[in-house]
Amino acid sequence: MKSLFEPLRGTARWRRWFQHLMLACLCGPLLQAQAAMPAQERSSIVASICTDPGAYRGALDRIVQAVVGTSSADAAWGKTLLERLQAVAVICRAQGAPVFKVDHGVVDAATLEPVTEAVDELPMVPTLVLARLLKTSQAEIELFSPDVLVRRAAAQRMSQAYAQINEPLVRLALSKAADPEVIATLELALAKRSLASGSVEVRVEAIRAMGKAPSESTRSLLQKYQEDRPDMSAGERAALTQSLSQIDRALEVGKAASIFFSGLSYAGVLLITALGLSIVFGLLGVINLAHGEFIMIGAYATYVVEKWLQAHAPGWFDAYVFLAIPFAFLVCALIGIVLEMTIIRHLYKRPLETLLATWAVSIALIKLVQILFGSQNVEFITPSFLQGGVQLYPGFFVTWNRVFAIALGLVIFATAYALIRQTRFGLLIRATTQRRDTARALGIPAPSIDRLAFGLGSGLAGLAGVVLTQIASVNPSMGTSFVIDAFMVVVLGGAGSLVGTAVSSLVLGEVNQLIEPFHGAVAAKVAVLLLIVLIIQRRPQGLFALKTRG
Amino acid sequence: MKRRNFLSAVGSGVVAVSAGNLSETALAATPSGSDPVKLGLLFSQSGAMANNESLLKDISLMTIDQINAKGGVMGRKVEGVVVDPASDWPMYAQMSKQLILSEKVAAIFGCWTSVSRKSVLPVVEAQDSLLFYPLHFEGEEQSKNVVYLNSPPSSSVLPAVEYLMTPQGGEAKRFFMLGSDYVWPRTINKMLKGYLKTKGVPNSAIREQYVPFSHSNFQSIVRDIKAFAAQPGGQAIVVLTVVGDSIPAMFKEAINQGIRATDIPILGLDVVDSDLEGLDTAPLTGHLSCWCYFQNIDTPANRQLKSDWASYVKAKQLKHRPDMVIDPMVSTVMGIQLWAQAATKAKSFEPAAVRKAMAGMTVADPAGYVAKMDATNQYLWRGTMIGSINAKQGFDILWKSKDIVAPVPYSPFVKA
Repeated sequence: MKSLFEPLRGTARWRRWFQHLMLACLCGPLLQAQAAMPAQERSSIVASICTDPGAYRGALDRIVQAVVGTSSADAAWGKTLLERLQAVAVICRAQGAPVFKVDHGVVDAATLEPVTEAVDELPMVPTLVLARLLKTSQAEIELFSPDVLVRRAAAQRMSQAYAQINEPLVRLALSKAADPEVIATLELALAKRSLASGSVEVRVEAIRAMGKAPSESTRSLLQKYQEDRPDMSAGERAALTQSLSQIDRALEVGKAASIFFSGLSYAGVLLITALGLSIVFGLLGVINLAHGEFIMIGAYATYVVEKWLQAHAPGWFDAYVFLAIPFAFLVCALIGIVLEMTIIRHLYKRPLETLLATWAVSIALIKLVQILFGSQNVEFITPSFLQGGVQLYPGFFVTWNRVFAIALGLVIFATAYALIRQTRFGLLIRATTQRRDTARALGIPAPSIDRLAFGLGSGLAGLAGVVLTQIASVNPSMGTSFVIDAFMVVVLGGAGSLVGTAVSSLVLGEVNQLIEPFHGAVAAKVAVLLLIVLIIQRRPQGLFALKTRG
Repeated sequence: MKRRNFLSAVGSGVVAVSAGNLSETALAATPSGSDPVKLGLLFSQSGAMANNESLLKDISLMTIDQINAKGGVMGRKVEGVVVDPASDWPMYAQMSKQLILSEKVAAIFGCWTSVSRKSVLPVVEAQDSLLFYPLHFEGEEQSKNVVYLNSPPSSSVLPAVEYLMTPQGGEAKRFFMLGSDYVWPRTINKMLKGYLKTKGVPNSAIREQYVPFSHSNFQSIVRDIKAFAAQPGGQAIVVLTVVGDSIPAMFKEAINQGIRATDIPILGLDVVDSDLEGLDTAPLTGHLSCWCYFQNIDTPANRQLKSDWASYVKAKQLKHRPDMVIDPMVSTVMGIQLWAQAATKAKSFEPAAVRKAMAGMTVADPAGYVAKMDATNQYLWRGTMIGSINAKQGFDILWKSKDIVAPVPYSPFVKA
């Protein structure tokens, strides 16, 4: 982005020299060697924060000056004060000087000497207004941090809180900045402020600068500008129109990308939850209402792995999701095989009884987990590499946990597809499903294959549980909310067809997320259900049907 | 002896013997001095409300144990009858009927969501029993068969929104109302819109959106909130009336998409410490909630209550956090104590007598107030507090009322 101070021709060079001079004069006081702050000044700063909300701004400015100034004692004190305020550890006493709570007791806020008398008042809770100012002041200090990532984040805060910032300080940081991202963000912050400038050229420059940095906030700023100044000059109007259309175009693209991405992540969830069911229902014809509980058991298996790693191998903690994958698969596959051997095996030709039996099993599993783990939501600490997200484009923000869920879902799908299509085991499953008698005549042990296939389906449900721990809340009854959607996906896609499951989950996910922003979540669900009803009426076997005979 | 005579002799003998037995069983059916008096505990232990309501069930049992340790009520032990309506609203009605008719409970303590209370309401009214309801709610109701132990919007939502509209609170001018789709959020939002209109807030500054129960995919909604907040017109806040599982899901999404309280404060009206249990709350500090009680209050009564609860959880090896006490739990405790006091004063367990004795009665509130039962409308006068989420999955007290506040059952801001 072109610097605002880019020389045009001729006069611009003088202008720049003049600006540097102004900078030096304004920042001189900030930089000149300061004597350590007298104790009274420190006490007065803390006292004004404790008693006078109108004085917050002034007090915080003085703290920031202390921190970026040259007296290291004051800098340390200022940093401590800011940190203690944000940690809700400053006690403003009714009688006596304010104090900080520290690990080993209580210290005086101005002198940092330990305080011997007992202090039992509760610390001051910063109001939202003070919290905002504290955040801005913290960012102003971090503009001078040695870490470039910290400086970038601080610059973002300057741009966000442009109305509250200490302008000479920001100009000083800008003059010292070398990283292009930091320079661009700080210039945007100053451009937002110069929208209120007296000079028309400065305002037009600012409008153009904001057109180049499209976002919801720049758009609303320009919109407000347009509303507040109906009598603006032609130059301003032209620049404004151009910038607004630039921003609008960028935001539309961003919004479309967002909707597509949400649809993709919802489709990913549908896909992994329905995959196991597709195998079990499609290949075996078993209506397994306990499928949701296998998902839940997979999630709890992940919880067990997480807790174990937390206690015994904290260095590996971040990898708990990956380590949970084989563990959850095995646990759920084993439970599935046991279930098949004890109950399902006797009920193959009797769908109603299978329905009832698996429903009973699902209730039993929920209660069992409730007894073992309690009925409350369980805590999953998001691994550090999955926290937060990234702004890929104006208006398009992706969170890492969803990207991970989509990626893992695709990997699981590809593996399952390869297993069914390309391995001998998959061949045996397909043979048993499509031509059962011929397969048995060829010596394939059909009951064993059925058992293993059921185990595979349950194991895949467990894997879905692992992925869902990062994006949904986990409690014993979480499975019930996924099993209905999973059945819908399988029925629409065609029981037994993995490709059908993938296609139908994509269709349903995108349709749901397309409708939700305009008509709400409830209407989106209704629309999806209607869509399924219509398609099933036309094609009862689903979109991609397996041809079977017996 | 002739067969007919034989049969009639045997028949009379059987009738005589069973008549003797019947009179004994009839005597046994009327509660005698040594039978325990039963209280129904209508709290879900499974489903969407399990997390929250199982806390209320357990603290009720603890309070009943404490009352029994002091000799019970009027010399009789109290017994808590626990049932599990499984977060299924019609089940609350069915189980309340079961509690009243077959268990013959003297009163029911139960319900969290307003839809469950509305479902129980016709039952307690038809049977003329008493339901003690420990949650803050939307008001617009005043039944002689329900005891309202917690605040209507006039003493919870309105003070919090007023605070957020002051300069200290951030001068909120735009409101995104996000709620679960049932009576409580819809009524709260209706009342808020009426109130905001009187403050001159235009319609364009208000957005209303509803999600189904247990909805957990808040991606596009959080995006909408960010877009709404970026529009001109002043500071935007979110008035969050989702319940149960949706709360942690919403907060997780807000954290991941970078919403901080300094940018867009969220006023979570149904958020309690238990909803924050699964979350790293450092990025959530500053978001607000309002209740009659927060556990940071430092009074001797609160310290006692917290240590009693911690010992109880450890002794019974419950799966709850021993260091967490939330407002509905305290309201339930106060409700049971109020019932015991009223029954003792009325010298009877009949709902009509207890109701009459309760009017105007005071009961100690661990939050440091002396709560008072209203003389006519069966609402309990409580104090009001606004709490701010801290990094330890709890709340810091931002503001509290000096004294108990008069509850207003029917809000003037809800258009008829």
